[in-house]
Amino acid sequence: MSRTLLLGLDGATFTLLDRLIEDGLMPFTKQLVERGVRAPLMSTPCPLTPPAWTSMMTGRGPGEHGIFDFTLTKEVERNRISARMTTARDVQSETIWSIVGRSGKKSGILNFPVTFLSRPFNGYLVPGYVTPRVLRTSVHPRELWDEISNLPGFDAKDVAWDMDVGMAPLDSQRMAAEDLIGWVEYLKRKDAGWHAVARYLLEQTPCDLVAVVFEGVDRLQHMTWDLIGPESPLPGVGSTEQKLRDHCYSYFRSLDKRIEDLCTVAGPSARVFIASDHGFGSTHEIFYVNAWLARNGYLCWKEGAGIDTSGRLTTGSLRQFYESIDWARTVAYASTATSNGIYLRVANNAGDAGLPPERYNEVRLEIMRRLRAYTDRAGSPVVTKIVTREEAFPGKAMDQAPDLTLTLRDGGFVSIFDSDDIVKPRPEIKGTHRAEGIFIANGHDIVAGRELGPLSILDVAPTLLYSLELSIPENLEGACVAEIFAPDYLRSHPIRFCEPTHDPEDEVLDKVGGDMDRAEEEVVLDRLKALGYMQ
Amino acid sequence: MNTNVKQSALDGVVHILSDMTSDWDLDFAGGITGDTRLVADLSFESVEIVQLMGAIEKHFQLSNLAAEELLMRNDRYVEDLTVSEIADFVAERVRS
Repeated sequence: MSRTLLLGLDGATFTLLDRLIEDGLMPFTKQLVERGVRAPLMSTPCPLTPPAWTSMMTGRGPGEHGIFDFTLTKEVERNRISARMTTARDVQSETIWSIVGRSGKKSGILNFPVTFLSRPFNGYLVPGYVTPRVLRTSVHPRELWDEISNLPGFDAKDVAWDMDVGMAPLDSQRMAAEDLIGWVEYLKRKDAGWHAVARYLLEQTPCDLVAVVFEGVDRLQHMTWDLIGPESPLPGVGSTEQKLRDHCYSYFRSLDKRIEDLCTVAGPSARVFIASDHGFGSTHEIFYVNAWLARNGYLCWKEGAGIDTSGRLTTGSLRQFYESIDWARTVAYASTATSNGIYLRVANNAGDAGLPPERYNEVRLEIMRRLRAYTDRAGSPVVTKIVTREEAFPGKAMDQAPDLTLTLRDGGFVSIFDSDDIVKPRPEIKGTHRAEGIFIANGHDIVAGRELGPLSILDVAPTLLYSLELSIPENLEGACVAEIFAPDYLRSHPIRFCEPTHDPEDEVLDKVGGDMDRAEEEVVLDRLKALGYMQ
Repeated sequence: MNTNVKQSALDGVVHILSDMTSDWDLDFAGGITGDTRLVADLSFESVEIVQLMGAIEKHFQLSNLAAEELLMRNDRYVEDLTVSEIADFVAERVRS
């Protein structure tokens, strides 16, 4: 069986990679593409890191796995809205590493979002988006920390999540030149740490699947798209812009070397997949969606809430932001900048704020109609697409999804703040997400030199399972991309299907049942019931 | 509230916090007790409080701790929490 390596490049897009390849900055990636298969990879309805990576690694859409944003927004009690970071405990679909583990194979999973507090499985996991001080106690198994923390190139402070640095890409202000250079070096160190752990897993463990996310591509593109994006003008020779641009390019050179090294360590019999959670493009304006909702009577600000004057989309303290809204007089709101979603509040109990249930459809349609009709001063529509949650997120978790998801004309994220103007030009062009990411496959029994039409992000999980010679659970929403495999291999290894994935909650009960006698099992089940874990 | 449940919750929260902070660079002297404050003594940041609540949920096998209720008082987010306050909250959830 071929070992399978998945290199996740957060936010990678062919619109930039093709130019970097053409300019000779990523020679190894060029070889991978030329001697393998490439295709655009279409992201989730809102092309955002947490739902998209979770879809890639579960083969289910957000309406099934339940991850729609970095945070989970809840109305915890009457007129009190709260948001907290999503964790693996919120993922309602089985992950590929759980499926692989159930078959007796091992996985090594590094830096994927929404993996903090993952359930135990057969393999190794270092979660992404965890602060440095919490990282040590978050790895699985715990002993792994002793092995990786002293690896050359690994520094917990660099690889872990820094809230301020993480929020920086959404800030409208460009860094000073020297800060930007330092920041690019920080991204390289971050990648170096994850590279070191991936290398360790490939060399020292019998992992059948190793998957690692390098997040620097996304961060760099957010911050410097006006310098490195394909549409950006060539800077003058010797100018500061040219130096900065060259420094940004050095990140991609460094990334190319990491890809080469990990492919070399994985060996010639391995299969390598490179995928991104979404693509990238430019954003040149800010749409203040809550300001629009307020002007149209759906949201009410508290007195003194203040307006945004610095081009901000969001804040590090959503709690404080929520305190600026008069929830008793608000029926629709955007809780974050990242999901581009609008939530409607329904008054299910007497005295609750929100819409009477019977008015929900009418008001939702009214908001859709008004948003579609909204134009800037030049008469151009700003919101180009609006989908209901039934359209975008069908599934068991749909009721947690935004009631409406918006696509803006410049592809940008909304701002959640109040503003004197509903749409404002950005002080400078920045990078933002697009639906079209990348997919590259190369290696043993993979055909060479083929370019495919757009694939779905949901196709990645079944394709990885097939590469690992495992059956594909029949309820995965995507399909194995059979065209990438050599015809002889396909004939000798027909695609097989198996029973549906397990419910992650049931995994706990599976473990209970696995190694205990009946009496012990009953004691544990009683305890789980007592804890409210089982109904 | 049952004293045993309360003590078990306190022991559990102290255990989680001791484990989590064992390599943190803190000026805080002495072991973690019920009176220890997350922010003032252990320098917790807001995102780490969220991560702690997740770890507590996992440890006590609580599927929905609704920690927001602990983090808010009189419609305002609290500035700090003691270990005892967290343990009492957990004990209530375990018993309910």
